[in-house]
Amino acid sequence: MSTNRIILGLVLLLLLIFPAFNMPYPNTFLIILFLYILLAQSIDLLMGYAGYINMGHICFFGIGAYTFGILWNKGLHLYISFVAGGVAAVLFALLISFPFFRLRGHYFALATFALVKLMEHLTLNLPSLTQGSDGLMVLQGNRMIPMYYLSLFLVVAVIGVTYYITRSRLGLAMASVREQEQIASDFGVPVQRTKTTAMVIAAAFAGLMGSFYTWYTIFINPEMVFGIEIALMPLAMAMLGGSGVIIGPVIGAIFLFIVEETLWTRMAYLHTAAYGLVILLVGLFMPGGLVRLRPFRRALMRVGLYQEI
Amino acid sequence: MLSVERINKTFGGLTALFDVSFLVEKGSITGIIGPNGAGKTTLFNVISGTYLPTAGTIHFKGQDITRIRSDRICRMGISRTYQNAKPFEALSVLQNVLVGVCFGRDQRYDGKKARSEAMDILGFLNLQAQAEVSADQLSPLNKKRLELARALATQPELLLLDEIAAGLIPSETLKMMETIRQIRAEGVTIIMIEHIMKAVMDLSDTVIVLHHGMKIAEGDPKEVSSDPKVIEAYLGEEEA
Repeated sequence: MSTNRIILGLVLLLLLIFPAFNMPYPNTFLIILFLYILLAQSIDLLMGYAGYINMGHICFFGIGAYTFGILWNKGLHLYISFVAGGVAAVLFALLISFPFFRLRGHYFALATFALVKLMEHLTLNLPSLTQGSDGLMVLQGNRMIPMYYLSLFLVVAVIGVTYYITRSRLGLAMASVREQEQIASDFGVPVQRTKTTAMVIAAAFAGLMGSFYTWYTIFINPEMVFGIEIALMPLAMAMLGGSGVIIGPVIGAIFLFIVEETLWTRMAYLHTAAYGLVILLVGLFMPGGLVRLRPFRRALMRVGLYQEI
Repeated sequence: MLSVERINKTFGGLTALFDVSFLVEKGSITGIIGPNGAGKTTLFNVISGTYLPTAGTIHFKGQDITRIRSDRICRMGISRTYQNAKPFEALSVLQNVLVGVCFGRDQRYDGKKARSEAMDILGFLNLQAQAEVSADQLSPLNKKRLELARALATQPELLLLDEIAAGLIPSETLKMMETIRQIRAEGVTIIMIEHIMKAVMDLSDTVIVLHHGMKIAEGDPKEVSSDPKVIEAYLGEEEA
């Protein structure tokens, strides 16, 4: 058995038996970490592998969150509401993929960023559906254990799917689009379909995590799921950790999460500035992210956890 | 096999191609020559679907392909190389060729079968030792070979070679010409843009001369090279 499998197996085993230790605070801590990892990894599916920075990725999350909340409050079954969050995000991804993927590079990033504000204002101004700025409240119950396992499942799934994609036909198509879009097309790659597929997969995960988030926090408002802070956070995590390497967003998410828990709780108003600063500094001085720093990269390669395409 | 009829291409006020027509027969090698800026690469871009022509039509195997997107044209059997080698730089040599095998062909290829096909093509071009190297690490000659490998990976019936021998030293050029002959012997029709006269004259069955976007001569290499119009427009410049 190779080293990477042993390490991954042990980590997974530890996470699986973790609730048995009955430590509520670390448990919530891990759930939030899973949420961050999922958002960072799913934003990177499009950014690191197909070369498109989707600044509006959080819209999928928010749409999932609201869809779940609204449907569940209407009395739909929990599972159906949960899946509906993912479906709504996928439909939204399909809707925007046609106009937005006509834009390339920075234009795509900028246009998708505008989507975040659009969604925030839309939810604020549709109070009959979303309760507007009052926020949306859902039923509460003691569900820590299922919540833990559901979020663990989602995060394992997003990492697994990303890994599978890097080794598949779709991954090859995405990488060729990232490298040179026109040339990819000249060699038969269906460029639009490739980009749309990648975004739809990313949206499905973000949407399902949105459903989960509402279930977990009980209360959401437009700022929590469509705010600038949560929009920039996964981007900062993926870039800091290392975009386009599977372990990159995971490391970035863990790193920023720890920083947040230890430092930023003391400076409530500077989160957004800090995320912006991280993006700026990483872009300037460490464009490859943490995992591409030589010593880090070597160590990861030695244990077989450095996987890119 | 390919018929190009009265193709025009303008970029804003600039006419890059004006009323260009010609036919290419199956199994032949057609050379395209002309001074810089004559519209040769634009012609390739129009045939391969990278650009839409402003006017005119292109038929391939009897089918109108004028307005078809480049990825479909590639799957229909037209493949190309670029004047300046443009591999997918961050991908390995093998992955570059796999793109052609997996997406450029009519049938769907996957997994192991695609890999072994790709390795065969790398073998044909003497690149198998570099299979796992990332494409930006290759020497200029190997980059040219990779261009050709990726194009062949799509199993083209018509291959468009844009200055495949440019930048090579004479001995490498000879090897490249030999490779092109082998490809033709497999039944692939070839159109090549080339500045190296020896290569064009030796390989081509027909030579087309473009000048300022217009076709000014067409015929077998000897005829064309003695055509006064061609000498004036092109060869004459070198003699002067």
